[in-house]
Amino acid sequence: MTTIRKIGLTVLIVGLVAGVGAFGAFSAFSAMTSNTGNSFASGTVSIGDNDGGSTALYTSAGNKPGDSQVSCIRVTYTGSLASDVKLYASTGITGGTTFNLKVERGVQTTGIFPGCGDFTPSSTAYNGDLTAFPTSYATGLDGKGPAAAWTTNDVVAYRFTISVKDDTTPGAHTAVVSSGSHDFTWEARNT
Amino acid sequence: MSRRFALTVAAIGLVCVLAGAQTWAAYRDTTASAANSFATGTVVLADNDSGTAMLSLSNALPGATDAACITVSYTGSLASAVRLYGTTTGSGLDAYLDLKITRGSFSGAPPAFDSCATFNADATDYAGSGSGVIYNGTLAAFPDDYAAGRVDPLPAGPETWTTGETHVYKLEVTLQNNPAAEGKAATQTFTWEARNT
Repeated sequence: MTTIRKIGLTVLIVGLVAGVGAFGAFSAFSAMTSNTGNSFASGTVSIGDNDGGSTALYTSAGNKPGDSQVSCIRVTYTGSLASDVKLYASTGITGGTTFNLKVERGVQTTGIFPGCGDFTPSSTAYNGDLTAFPTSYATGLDGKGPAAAWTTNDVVAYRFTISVKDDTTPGAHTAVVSSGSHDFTWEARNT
Repeated sequence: MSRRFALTVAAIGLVCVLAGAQTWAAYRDTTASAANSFATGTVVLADNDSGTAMLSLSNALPGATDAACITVSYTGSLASAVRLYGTTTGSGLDAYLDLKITRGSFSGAPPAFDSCATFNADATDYAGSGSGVIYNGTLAAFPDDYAAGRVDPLPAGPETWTTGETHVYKLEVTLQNNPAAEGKAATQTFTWEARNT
């Protein structure tokens, strides 16, 4: 080991001296080849929707049992990397068991936000109390079916149906019950 | 010596890789629908009795009668229909008590509860028992719950109560001339229940 190291160092020093000598003393033939244009770029994760800039799916007051509002939104993935997309709501939803939210996945091609024209449902992502809707990426609902990754130009339409549940408890609605203002977020993360 | 150095380098590299695996974030992007909200309307019905009874007969003789008026007001935001009903307890006097309920309004400033001074019955003969009368029968036959409740003012044409609407109800109770009523008692609760339509 030590011997080899010594030999190596010696060769290196000789080479260095030879190089220095060459610069000073002679010209020489040389040839070189290169491999140019190497590049490395990251992929993209990009997701958008057709609501024209974070417009609400529902804003309605003065509702009674059975009243509902139905809206559709299309989410499009344009990133180059395959991603998982999760749907979740912001925190601060109120109203206890007063409101029911149903979110269906499906296909829509020509409908204009927030209309549900030509929406065809394919699966139900959520159907329950609004207050129990997930509020983080970790607990979020699958944008597609379970473990289905999104690839470039994938589009999924969602139909949101919020409604007021029946409640004949005497005196239970002498004051307004509000859901509070809340956001829905679709978040894409590359797989 | 050099082996130890190589191992150290390798170890550092491994630590870097492990640390990297834990901290490298994935690329992310989000899109959102903001400021969604949904709220209910209200159903609010109240009266002016301040929690006191409006009818009373004690130690009554056949033909004894009592009358009283109550004002019922709606302040909910949703349109509602109202039904009248009430539960009865006692030892069976309700079979011998006649009850007449007349809907109307006060013509001037409302008198103190439970006076019927200035009471004017509605002009409509709702139940075929006279102007403004919505119930005319025994107390025993008066409905006990909402499902069977007397629709205000009549089943074929329920009133749609809206915010600020008020009606006055005159309740008259009369003891029948029937020996079987002797020594009996009855206690009645009258309820007006609004449900949105």
